[in-house]
Amino acid sequence: MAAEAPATITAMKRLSLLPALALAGCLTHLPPVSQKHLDIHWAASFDAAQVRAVAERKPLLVCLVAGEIAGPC
Amino acid sequence: MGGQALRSAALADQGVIDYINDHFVPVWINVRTEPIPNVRRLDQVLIEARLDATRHISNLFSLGFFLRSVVLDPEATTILNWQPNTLMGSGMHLWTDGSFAYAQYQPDDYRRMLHEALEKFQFLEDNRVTAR
Repeated sequence: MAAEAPATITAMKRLSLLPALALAGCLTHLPPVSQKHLDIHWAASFDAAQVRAVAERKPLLVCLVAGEIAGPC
Repeated sequence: MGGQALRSAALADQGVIDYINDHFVPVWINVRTEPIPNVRRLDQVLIEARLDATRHISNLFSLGFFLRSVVLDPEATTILNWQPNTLMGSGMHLWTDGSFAYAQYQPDDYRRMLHEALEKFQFLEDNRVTAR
């Protein structure tokens, strides 16, 4: 069984991915790679989400994003 | 990180999708075109972002890279996934947790964040019922 990497090395590996992801992401305004995220039952607006959350006693998940849900991001 | 990373990683994971659909009411707000909802708790997660009078984000950097996943109770009075809300704190979060504050995008990190928020919500709900 492989030894678990120290937390510092894991953190550094993650950090090394960040510039690549940034360039592949919002900087270039790419369309979505897949449409899987549209399987999520997104509310149409914050107000609509809150009405539903209160009625169903569920927490709100608010994704504040610089980009369209189904378009360039 | 931006929305591209979030939707191509965590939000493309079937386990995360099912967990969200079962336990949360999700909403996606494109901050390039929509105002930040007028909810005091959301102002606490903006960190370096600036708002204009109509509550649209006004600084160019945030319009390019903004990403926050915030879990609120149904009344929007409590942040259930509280994370550091200063630039320095967010930077430390990047070092310790692999993402800026409120910007998890890896499926495992996202699922853990959601799970902890849900546990906190259920604790608050249990005490809310008990207090009646």
